[in-house]
Amino acid sequence: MSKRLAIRNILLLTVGALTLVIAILVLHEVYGEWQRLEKIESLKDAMNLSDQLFNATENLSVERDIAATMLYAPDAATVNDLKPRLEESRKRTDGAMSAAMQMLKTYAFPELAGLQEKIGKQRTDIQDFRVQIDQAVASPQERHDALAKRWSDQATGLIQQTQDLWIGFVKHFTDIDPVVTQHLRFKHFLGIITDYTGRERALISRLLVENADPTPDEVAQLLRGEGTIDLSWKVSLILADHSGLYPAIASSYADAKSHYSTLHDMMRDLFYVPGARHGVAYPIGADLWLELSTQATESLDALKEVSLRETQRYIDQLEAQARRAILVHSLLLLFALLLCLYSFWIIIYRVIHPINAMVEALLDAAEGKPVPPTLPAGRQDEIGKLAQVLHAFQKNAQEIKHTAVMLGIHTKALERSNKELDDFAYIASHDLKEPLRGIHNHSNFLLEDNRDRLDEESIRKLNRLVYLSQRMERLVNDLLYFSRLGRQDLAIQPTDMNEVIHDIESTLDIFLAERKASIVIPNPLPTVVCDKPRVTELLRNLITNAIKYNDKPEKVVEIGFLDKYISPKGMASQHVFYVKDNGRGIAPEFHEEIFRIFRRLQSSADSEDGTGVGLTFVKKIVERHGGKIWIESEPNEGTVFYFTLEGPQDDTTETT
Amino acid sequence: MTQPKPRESQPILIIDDSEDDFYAARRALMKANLHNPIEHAASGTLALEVLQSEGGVKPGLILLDLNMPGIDGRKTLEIIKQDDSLKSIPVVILTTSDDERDVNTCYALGANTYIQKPVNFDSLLGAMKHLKDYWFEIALLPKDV
Repeated sequence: MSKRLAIRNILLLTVGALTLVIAILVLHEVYGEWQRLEKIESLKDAMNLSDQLFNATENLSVERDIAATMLYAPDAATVNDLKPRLEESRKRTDGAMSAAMQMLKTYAFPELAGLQEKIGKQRTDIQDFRVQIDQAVASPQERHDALAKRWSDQATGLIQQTQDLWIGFVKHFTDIDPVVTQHLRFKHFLGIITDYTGRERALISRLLVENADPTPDEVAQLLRGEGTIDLSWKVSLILADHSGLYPAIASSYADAKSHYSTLHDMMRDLFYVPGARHGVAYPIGADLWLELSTQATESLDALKEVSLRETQRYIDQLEAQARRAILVHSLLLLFALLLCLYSFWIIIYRVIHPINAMVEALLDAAEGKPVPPTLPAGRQDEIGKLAQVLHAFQKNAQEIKHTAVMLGIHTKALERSNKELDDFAYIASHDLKEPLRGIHNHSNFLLEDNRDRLDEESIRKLNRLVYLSQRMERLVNDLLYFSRLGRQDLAIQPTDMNEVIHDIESTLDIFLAERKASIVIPNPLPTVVCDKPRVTELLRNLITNAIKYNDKPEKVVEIGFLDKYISPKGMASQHVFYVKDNGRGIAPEFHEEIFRIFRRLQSSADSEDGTGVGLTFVKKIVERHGGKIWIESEPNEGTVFYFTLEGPQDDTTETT
Repeated sequence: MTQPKPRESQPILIIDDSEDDFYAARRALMKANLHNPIEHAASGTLALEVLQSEGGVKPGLILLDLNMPGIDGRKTLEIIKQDDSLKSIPVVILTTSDDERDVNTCYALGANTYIQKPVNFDSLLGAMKHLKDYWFEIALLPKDV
């Protein structure tokens, strides 16, 4: 159960992290879409400018043709007829050109600056030409061939440059959308068709007006134009088809193409073959030709308008798509952020918050303060479990604290009890002494004062009484000394153990000589910090014991020191002294027994005076130094006493 | 120079709550050939009463036990040594205790000798002989006030 809930927490965490990643990705997407939207909007402006440039070229083309026709025109009537159309085309040209130039200023593409300057200059030249044309057509009877030629060249050059500018300009926007690029290229080809149609029209107008045959050069020019126009029609159709433009413009396209075809077919036989004019005049006049050609131009213009609208519709659609995408993605972003926030909120309030509370509680518990009951111990997940564990810990901590207090009380009681025991031994031995003295003295006085009146048996018994009271005194004295060992502080000082042994050896020299005993120290002993007189007593006891209870003729006592010692039972100790003899040995069952007070396993071979407290003193002295003592011995194999004079050195050392 | 043995006639006061110990001490003193009168006070209170009474004969030597009920030996010693009329009397501590603290305290309070009561009578006799030799043959005391 708790495992499933653990998965829920992990899931929450994962969802939080995932939604954060998603939010970042979506944000990136939205940013990209914003940029695209800006580009699309710039595309709209660019489309408008492009349209103006296109109009400029188209209208300039019309103006060029009308003006040329008028310059070639023989009669005033024709000139007068054409004059309003010339004015109209001039106005349109200027309007479109000015608008385009105005809009171009906001872009400032460096590579187009030179071209723009050139166009501006040529427009001034165009103004001069217009004045000259107006003057020239005022006298219609004269021919103005040279002016017409120069004007045509001038206008064509400007058209060409405006088209170059248009191409250079739209290049900057073609990477935004491939379809729009194709639309633009479609329009470019429409522009070419318009231009070349206009040139053809102008030439034919002149031929009609002059009733002249085309020169071979002019025929070649017409054929080149026809080829260019045919190619442009074909390419534009492909582009319209590919870009999906065609269905929308189909009827306009067919109309424009048919107008062009009608005009072309009508004139082909008349002009393309030199000498085709069988007679004195062409079957149609210049005015009718202009009428027809103007219709063709207008149908082209209509086609352009339709395609422009279509392009604009397409761009609007793009814009709408981009806006919709931004909206959808923004909503997604908002949702992801909310989900992310929710998961983090959950993590903070369901995980971090309770953990903080528990940390606080643990700190409080460490200071012994009570547990706040607000911990979420009722929850079924690991946070709840943690809280339960914390509660258990705090309970344990309280119990441990209680136990520690109790332990302290018990320790104090034990210390007091030990002290009392020492004091008791001291006082008891003191108080025991007084009656003992009385018994001893009175027995003595009896013996002294009444010896004559006492029989042998009574004298023997009284002597025994004196002896026993003396022995009793020694026991009491030992007890007193033992209690003092427990009561008095150690006078510790750095002590050279070699010196200690040497001192013992010199005080015991007679004893050693009498018993044929020797003390052996295989390696120099260390200097240790201890109570020198007590340690001397300790060693003297061990040495005399080793000799007293020794049945060998040559008694040997070896004393040494080991940095580290591991007993046969596996108990490890450090800084161990040992006293080893070649005596009778001690059976294992007595290894503890021998340290008990007034306990003797056997009478020593040579004396009756021992009270059996020597080893008890030894043990007490060792323990007062914080050390321990133990023996390793088997009967008939000698005995080794091991002891230390300090507490355990590290964790590896066991204590007894 | 005063005579070395002026206090032959002066009594020796034994302050000890134990009748047995008093008996042993008196016997040892007599055996040591001291013929002074020997007086016994069974407690510090009694001893001080005798010592501080008007016209009483001042003892030539005091043997004082330490552990007694009531005013114990330490207190008795302190009072004697602070009393101008008594402080010149030599005080020998004769006690069971061989505790270093007792020894130091008593000498600090002005005790003249400290003897641990031996169980063995011969040892006691030896000690008393030494006492006699020292306090009645050798030592010179300031003149009684």
